[in-house]
Amino acid sequence: MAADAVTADAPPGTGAPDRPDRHVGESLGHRIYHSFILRRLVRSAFVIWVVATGVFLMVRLLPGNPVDVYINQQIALYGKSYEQAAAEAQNYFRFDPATPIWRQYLDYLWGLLHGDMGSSIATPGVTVTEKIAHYLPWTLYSVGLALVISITIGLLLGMIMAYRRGGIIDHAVSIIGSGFHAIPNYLLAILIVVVGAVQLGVIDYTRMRGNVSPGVSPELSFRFLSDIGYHATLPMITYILTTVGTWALIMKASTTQVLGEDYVTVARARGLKDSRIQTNYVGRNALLPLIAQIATQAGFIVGGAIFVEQTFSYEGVGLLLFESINTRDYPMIQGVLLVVTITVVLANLCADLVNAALDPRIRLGEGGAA
Amino acid sequence: MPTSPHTPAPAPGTSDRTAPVLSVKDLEVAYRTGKDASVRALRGVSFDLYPESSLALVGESGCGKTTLGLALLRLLPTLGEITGGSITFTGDDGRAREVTDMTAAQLRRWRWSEAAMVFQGAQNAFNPVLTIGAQMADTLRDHAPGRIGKREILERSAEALRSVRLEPRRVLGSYPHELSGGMKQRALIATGLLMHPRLLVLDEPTTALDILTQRTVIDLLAELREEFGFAMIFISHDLALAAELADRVITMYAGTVVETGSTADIFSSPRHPYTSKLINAVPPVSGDLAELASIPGAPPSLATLPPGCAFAPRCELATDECRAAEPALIPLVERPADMTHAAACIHHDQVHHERKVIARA
Amino acid sequence: MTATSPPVPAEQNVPTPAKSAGVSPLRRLFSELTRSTSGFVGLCLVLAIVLLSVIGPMGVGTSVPGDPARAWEAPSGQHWLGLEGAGKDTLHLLIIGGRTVLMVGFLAATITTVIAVAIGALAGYFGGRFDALMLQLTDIVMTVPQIVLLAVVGAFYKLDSPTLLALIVGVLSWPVLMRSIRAQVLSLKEREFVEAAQLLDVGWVRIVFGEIVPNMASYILINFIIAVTNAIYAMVGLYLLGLAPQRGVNWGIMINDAWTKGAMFNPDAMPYIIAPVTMIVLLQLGLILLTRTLEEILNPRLRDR
Repeated sequence: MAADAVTADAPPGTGAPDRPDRHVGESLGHRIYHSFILRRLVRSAFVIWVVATGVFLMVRLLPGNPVDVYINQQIALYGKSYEQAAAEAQNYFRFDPATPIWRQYLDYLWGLLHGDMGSSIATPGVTVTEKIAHYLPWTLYSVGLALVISITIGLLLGMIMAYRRGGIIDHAVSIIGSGFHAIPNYLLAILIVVVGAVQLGVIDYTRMRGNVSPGVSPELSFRFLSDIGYHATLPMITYILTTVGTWALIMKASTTQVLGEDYVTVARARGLKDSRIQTNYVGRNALLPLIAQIATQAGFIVGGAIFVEQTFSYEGVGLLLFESINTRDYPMIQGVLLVVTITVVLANLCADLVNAALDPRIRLGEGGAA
Repeated sequence: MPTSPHTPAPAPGTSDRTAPVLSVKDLEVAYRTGKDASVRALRGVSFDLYPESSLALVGESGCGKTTLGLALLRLLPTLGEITGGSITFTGDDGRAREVTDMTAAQLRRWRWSEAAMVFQGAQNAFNPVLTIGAQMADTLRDHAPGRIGKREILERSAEALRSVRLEPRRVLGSYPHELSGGMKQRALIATGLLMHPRLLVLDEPTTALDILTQRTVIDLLAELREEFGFAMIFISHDLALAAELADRVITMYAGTVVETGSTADIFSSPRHPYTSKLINAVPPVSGDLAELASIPGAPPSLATLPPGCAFAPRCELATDECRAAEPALIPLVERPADMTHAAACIHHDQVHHERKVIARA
Repeated sequence: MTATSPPVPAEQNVPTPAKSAGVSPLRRLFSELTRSTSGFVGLCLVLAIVLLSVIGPMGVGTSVPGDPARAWEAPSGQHWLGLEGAGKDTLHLLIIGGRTVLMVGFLAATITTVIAVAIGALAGYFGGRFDALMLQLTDIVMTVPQIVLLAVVGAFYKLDSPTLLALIVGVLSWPVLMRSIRAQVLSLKEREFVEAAQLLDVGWVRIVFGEIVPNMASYILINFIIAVTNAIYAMVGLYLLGLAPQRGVNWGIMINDAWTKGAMFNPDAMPYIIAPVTMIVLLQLGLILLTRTLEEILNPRLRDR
């Protein structure tokens, strides 16, 4: 506080800078912002690298690893020599098991950088990348859209709950939210099918399964878009129901806290319009903790996609992973794991960037005395 | 209920240009403490505040001064409510209005444009995600009768900031966390003056600041009063501040007014034992007090007030008569503009105020 | 990354438990728990399921006779839940099916809690490079969705026994828990009793595990229960994927049966599917209610007035 008198509060006329720090800081601020992005990018790349290395360890180095298993299998079942088996393995895994380990690791990384994750054992001739590229968009679509809807609904509910604590919506959402929270997402999917489709017949399962109705071609038309929406409904409902309660509760807690802050009382004292206070003063501040949770929830939903997609025959990477596990298609499993991780890392990155955009304290660093 | 001897408040709806800006009569505020229980935080407070004058509300923590400040603008927290009395505000146009009767919409328009409040602790008074300039603009926009142009917003904001000795270019584009405590406090005051209100209420304006910044803010407030001509109420436990800035002082204890009068009267001859002790508790700059006086005992719990005078348990002049019934404010020296010196003590003539100062060798 | 992501308070609002004199904090917790309806319901649910699964099999026996000719018989007076695909009594299967689930759940949660407390306490207390390293590590591990990681590990390496399953689940779940523990330790570290112990030169082992950790007992309990819900989610998921040992009978296997063998679409099979699902849901619900109530008790700010 003593710094007050010395720096910022210099009395007028004693050479207060004509171009205040903030303007010089404009370019400095830009630099800091950019380096914040840079920092996050570097961090994300680092995480991806670590996970990729971890996967390599699992696939290649730990005892009982898939590559060894495959090679031994080839030798035992088909009587191939080690070199032959290794050459086959290289076909699928993209690194030659016969070369020194560091070489294998570098080949592996090199392949990754070029988007080459090996070839599928289960479907020969198809590279892992190709197959994932085919399945991934569907998962991104269903999960992404579900996340957006879930957050929006949760956000609104949470704010209402905070403004009217103890009201009907508050109790209802808390109870229903808790209820749905207790149901693992895969079980909910099963319940939807068993109860909704088989028992009650309200859900036309055969028509709704899959990604797209037969005969509808991918194009930017209303017909196509509404069709894929129709087919994505069941998985999305599962995702939304299992997460909306959590969002509402987080938003409620966050809004309640913000409502108790001084600046909200001051805003009322200033005679600001209620609508303005709700959006710019309460809303924007209450949102911040939510964003931090997006990546976690996204990861959670993607994990559940393995089961949900299988249940609804929805052809996304979840289904792909499930099938690969069943067929022991190791390169594919490895590829999906990496892709899923990269997706979550990117989601994390986006969330961080959005957070920085919304919260000047993060963007410009915790200030203190200017 | 002690009532203050003052001129009757102007009836709402009448027009009177010499009327007091604020006329509070028998104001009662209670806080809900449980399902059916409540605590009376203000037990009948009355005073008048005339245009361009400044009033200091002093007292220990919990005496109700902050509650009074909040009640004036009807900003009490959800658990509190005004349970009785009236607050009459007379604006620039001379019209008198009942603050306690205002609807939400009327309140919103009235707040800040005619009566503003600067809260205690400026640390968190600004929205952290908006710039100071944006928040000042919000205030202007929501009070403007029609559309208000960016240029005008900028001019008025800059003018307000300059009046508190802040550099507009620097502050307008800054976020709250980029400013120091002192700058924030001054920006807060600037925001309060944006609409040229007739009344400014300040709650502990200097408490969270260091000595040097306190000085700056005090000087600033004095200048601003001259420049803008608003009536000022400031709430403080700091008597020295009161002595500097106030025309008159009201001492509060346990939710009531125990003494009221001009600053000169109060400081030279306080007539309530509590006020006398408060003044004596402030160490002088020039020498040492013969004995460092503190007030024995602790402020009473508002939930379990003893009958009679609330200060009796801690007062050496207390007699059975004091404990029997709560004393009314007794006028002692008549003065105009509600500066009458009055004290709520039946033994006021026995209050001998001596500041025994030993000059340093 | 938790399946049942704990409500905000577990990480953000760090409650400060009072050091009690006299009555053990756990007993007080217990009595306050029974006073709240949701807590009481939760406790009853959990206890009921535990009792059913532990004592039930002793009553009805672990071998279940099955007559394939009577597959998918509807519920009757003799067989309350009807018969399943191999003619076995569904209710009987249900009763003996809980043991493995509970065992794996609690075992995995115990492993997770022990690791998380050890690492979290040390990281929180010592700070420095170890702490930074642990934070980085947990950050990275938390990026991969837990179930995906478990699925991959399960696919690469055979999970032969429930114990191994519990071990893997337990070991891979500690990062999230560790952060909560660490946060709590950080706040407790500044308290006077720690300073007092430090002045007495008691040695960090006694300080961390003798003073700080016991003070967080109820907090650790809450996190333990959350870990159980987590473990159950992970484990049942693995059973569904066919990656967990398919021997024996448990709710996970029952659902997997239904799911992969198409019994899902057989209207007659409904009791067989709904029953284990309901048990798992009830168990999770009970555990969640417990944690919510316990959190409210520890952190009164959360209580809705």
